[in-house]
Amino acid sequence: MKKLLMLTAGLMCILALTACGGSTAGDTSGDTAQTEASQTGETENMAVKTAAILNETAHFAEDLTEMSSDAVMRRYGLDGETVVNAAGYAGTPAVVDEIAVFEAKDVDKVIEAANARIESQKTNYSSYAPDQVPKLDDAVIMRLGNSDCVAVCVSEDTSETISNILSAVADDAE
Amino acid sequence: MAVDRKRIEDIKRRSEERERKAKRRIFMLRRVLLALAALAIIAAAVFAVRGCVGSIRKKHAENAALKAAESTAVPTPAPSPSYNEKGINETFFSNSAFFGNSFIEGMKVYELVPSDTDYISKVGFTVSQASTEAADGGTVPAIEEFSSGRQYDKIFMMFGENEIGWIGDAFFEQYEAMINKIKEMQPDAKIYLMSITPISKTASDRADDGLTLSKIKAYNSGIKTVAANTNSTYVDLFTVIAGPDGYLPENAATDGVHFGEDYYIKCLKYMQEQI
Repeated sequence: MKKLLMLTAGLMCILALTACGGSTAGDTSGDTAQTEASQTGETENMAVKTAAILNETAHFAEDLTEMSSDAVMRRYGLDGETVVNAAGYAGTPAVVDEIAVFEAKDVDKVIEAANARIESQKTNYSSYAPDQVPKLDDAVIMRLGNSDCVAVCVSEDTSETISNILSAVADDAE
Repeated sequence: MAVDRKRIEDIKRRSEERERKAKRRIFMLRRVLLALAALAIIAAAVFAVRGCVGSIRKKHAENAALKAAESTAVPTPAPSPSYNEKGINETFFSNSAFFGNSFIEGMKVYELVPSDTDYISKVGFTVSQASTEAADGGTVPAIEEFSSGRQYDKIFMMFGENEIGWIGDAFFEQYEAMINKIKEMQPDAKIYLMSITPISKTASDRADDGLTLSKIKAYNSGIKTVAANTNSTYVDLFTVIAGPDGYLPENAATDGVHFGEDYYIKCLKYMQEQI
């Protein structure tokens, strides 16, 4: 009788923990979401930070406009399957100057897309505004250190200057 | 002998007393454990009931709200216009396509219109290229994108600037033919032909590829005729953008042609209010 009572007490305690409110499961998923959010926050900062540094440090033919992550990804024909997030700046169609930095899920695919965009721009501008093509020839597409960040920059600076800026960013990050 | 018997009895009595005490301790311990178990059962029952009752109440409330929504006899009113933070009427521009040259390409950066808008455009695009070449990011000739399956409510077109040096009426004839093809693919879409926008005096004096302000005005007159011939709506963006001297202000564009976000907002606001 007493053993039966003790067993019943134990079962009731277990039932209480899994009661209809389901608050325990909610708490767990909240912790997971918070961890994921903090990780995404760190990677967003790298793409946004790198793009901002390029915009402030490099030289462009006109003031560039900041783009949303979605706008940058659409510009390069990329989506959530290959990119975690992106940051970038672009000018008017008068110039080819632009910045795009990607937190890549697939670094090779992002680099491939970046190369495709640069080639497409060369084709378009060779007849539209040929004076812009040399900047595309000197475009920089660079993976930042050991990170999954890929930066693209078309500017009035040489590729060496831009590469040095990006190397410094990569070193700081590591 | 009497001493031994007494001692034995003492030992026996003490032993029995120890035994009694031990039994009492066990008895008390069991009582305490039983009491704790009973408390645990009560607490568990309370939490279980509270959790379940809360969940049931929530479900009842949701069901009641759903029934209230379903049982209403008042028809759903048409959606009121929704404006984004730049003052652009997203309802007006919803389910639209923007089709054309660098004017359309330049819009993409600012994301002024709803995110479901399709941009079918490329820098330097002409009406003849649009029939044979893909737009930026596209894989089929641009005009074929209108037979992709999606039916638009509105199609905004901008052509003419890159055709300014064409001979005779070639541009207007090809533009008209292209519009008629698109109308077959998009029978219910309203088509809007945007005028070529003005350029700065410096750019006009430069006359790159024959692009001057007077040529733009002449072409806009022809585009207006194309609109009338194809039952489309002509959108006079030239007047919206031009300064008092008729030119694009010098500080509006680094090349005197391609302006930035402020001017696009002017164009879109004119369109949502006047057409």
